[in-house]
Amino acid sequence: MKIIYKILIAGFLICSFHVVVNAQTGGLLDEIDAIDRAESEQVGRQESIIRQMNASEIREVQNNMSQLKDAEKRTGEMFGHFGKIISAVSSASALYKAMNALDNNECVPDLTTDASDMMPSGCDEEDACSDCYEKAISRMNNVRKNLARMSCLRINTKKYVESAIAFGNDVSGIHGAFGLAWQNEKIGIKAGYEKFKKTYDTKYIEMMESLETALKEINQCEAQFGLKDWYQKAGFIYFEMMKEKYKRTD
Amino acid sequence: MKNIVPLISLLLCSTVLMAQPFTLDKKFKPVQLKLNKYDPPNEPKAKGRISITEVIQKEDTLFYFVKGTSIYSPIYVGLQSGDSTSSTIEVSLHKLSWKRAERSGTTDATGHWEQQFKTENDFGIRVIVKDKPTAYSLMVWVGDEVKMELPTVFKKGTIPRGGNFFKDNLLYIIIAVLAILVLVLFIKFKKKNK
Repeated sequence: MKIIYKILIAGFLICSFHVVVNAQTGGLLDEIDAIDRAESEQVGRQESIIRQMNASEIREVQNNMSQLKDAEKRTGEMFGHFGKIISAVSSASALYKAMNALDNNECVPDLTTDASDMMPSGCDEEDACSDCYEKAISRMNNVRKNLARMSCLRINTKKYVESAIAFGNDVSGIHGAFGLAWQNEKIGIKAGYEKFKKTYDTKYIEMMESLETALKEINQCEAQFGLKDWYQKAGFIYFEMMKEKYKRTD
Repeated sequence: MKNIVPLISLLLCSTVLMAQPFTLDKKFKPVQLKLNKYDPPNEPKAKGRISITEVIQKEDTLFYFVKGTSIYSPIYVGLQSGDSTSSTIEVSLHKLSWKRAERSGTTDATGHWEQQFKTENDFGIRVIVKDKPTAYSLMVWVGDEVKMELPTVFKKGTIPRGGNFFKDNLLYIIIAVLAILVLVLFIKFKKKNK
């Protein structure tokens, strides 16, 4: 009786094991089939080969221009075209000045100052006073440059957000399936824009503090070489004008 | 002042929503072109960052994008096909959307196409080939930020140099003159009466 009982248990265990192995190998075979299908689809798609050169490869091409092979020859030719452009200009700054913005509507920093917004100065670029002004003016010019860039970044980002939302609304109106996905996307875009606005405001405050410091340094030089109470008479007005000009209003 | 550059970088980081020209298609995966430091010893004007990509395009259209450019940097994008006898390659540059090209053109008789411009943050490049496969090299150069001479914000010679004694003390001078005048008149009047 015991022997029959043991045979039955052994039979049951063998059957169970077989079922489990079958299930596992069956799943594995399905997976292999799926990978095979995906691979054959990839072959059918004819994926392009894209290889980005690293810094040392680029250097290698430049150093061995006379011994380049096939693909490298194209790169060599391109270096030739690029080299002509670079050697035609006196400086990188001259090249930059000759360039237009990629997008005609893109905001490009305007660093000019209207004559009515200019400040008087008692320093006629003589050595004694110039040395005093140099550091403060350099600080002020850096602030001007960065404020102009920040302002354009804000204008361009606003334009991007508006354009993306308008595009998404249009597309989701035409293709109903996009509707729900677009709503989530829109929330993400709006949240990103809000974060950007907060960052802008923080940086704006920091820049204004830096500008005020620069103007007060100029004030000290003016007291020494030029106009008494310069900040109260001119610097403060310029500071207020800059504060208004770069303040976020939206 | 050195803090200003990281400040701008932080601001740029917060513009993650502007990662590339806009699309709603999640299957759409443009290739990011990575910029390597570039400092050729014999050409300091070319100092900046560069990306060179060798491609064998087997699909009709490929999309690429570049991240993190500065509006104060010059940018050059060039494409050179392998064989000048092959059909032309269509290239377009995109800013806000892949649907709208800001600039477009085709490779010339030598298989070359190039553009120069300036832009902030990101831009996209779309390449369409007629004959497949087509081999080409794509170059993106982003120069270092240029050192610009900013126009001055100062007017020269509009304010007299140093303290102006007469202007600063005009009221006291008038009072003094009037007092002297009154005193003279008073003395004269007194003498007359005598």
